[in-house]
Amino acid sequence: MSESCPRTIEISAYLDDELGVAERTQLQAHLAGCERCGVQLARLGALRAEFRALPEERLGFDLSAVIGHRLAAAPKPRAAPPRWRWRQFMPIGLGAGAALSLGLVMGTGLMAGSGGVAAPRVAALAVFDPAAPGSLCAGSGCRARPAAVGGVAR
Amino acid sequence: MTTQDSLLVQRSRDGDPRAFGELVRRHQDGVFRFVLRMTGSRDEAMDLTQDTFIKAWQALPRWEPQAQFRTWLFQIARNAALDLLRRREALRFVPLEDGAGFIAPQPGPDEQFAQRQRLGLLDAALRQLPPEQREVLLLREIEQLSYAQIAAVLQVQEGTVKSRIARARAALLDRFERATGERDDV
Repeated sequence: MSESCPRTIEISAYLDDELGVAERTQLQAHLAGCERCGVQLARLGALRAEFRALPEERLGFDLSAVIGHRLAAAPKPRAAPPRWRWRQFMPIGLGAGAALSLGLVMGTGLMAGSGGVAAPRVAALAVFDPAAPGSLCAGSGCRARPAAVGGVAR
Repeated sequence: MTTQDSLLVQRSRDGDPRAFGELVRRHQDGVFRFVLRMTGSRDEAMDLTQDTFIKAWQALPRWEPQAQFRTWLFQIARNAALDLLRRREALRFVPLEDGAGFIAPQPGPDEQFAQRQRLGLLDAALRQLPPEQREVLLLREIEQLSYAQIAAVLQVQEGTVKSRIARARAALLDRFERATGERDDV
């Protein structure tokens, strides 16, 4: 949405050479025929000239010589602690997830041959059986001795 | 950022105080004149300038290489100046009598006197602007930062800088022209 005249925002940016090529061309064409905007440009230009005439303020001494002892006394700059990003935990997380998934799959497979109804929770616990999942003794043909079962329900 | 600045910053980050000293010499006047015209107090501006470089030295490990050192330094200086103004609880108006940026006109040729008086009126009008208008004018007109650089200092969009500068100029013109009599109050 273009400003109404005087187009102060555009003129201000034009003065600072901060308009794009197309905008600058358009404004220049406008300035050629708009007295209000022409006056505003002159006012802003005069203000700039006033700024240029302001005395240049300086410290008047070498601050680095003064600041040296304060730098020596100041706490030493410390590097910021490394920020852990969530992506750094991905390998650990993926590995844990894979291990758990494998255990669930293998446990489910063991229970599938048992013929009995196994609660999902118990099936998942099959990974902790004395006979490790995937071992030669796993499956319906292998019955653990009562002493080795230790009360694990199947 | 200038090549020389980038080399000095790198050596400073590696712990070379002489390199940092050179950075101080290169930028001390720019920081000082900015905080002086923001606060209106020469003594406080000197303290703030020192504090700015101390903070910069301590914050060097956190400086991002893609950031310009000068704009980063002005960010620190600007925050320090605004903190001071908040503490003063004088965010809006600073009476002309309290100003230190104004150079009292000396007796001399009429033309010189008139010019100095006029500059004093500009300085006073500038100090009467709200801080958010004063700072953009100082960064643009005195320090000659680009809109992109000013946006980095203020942490705003360039579009905001563009409109803020225009409004600040209009406000300053209004005050200044009334003070010099170039514009009627009617």
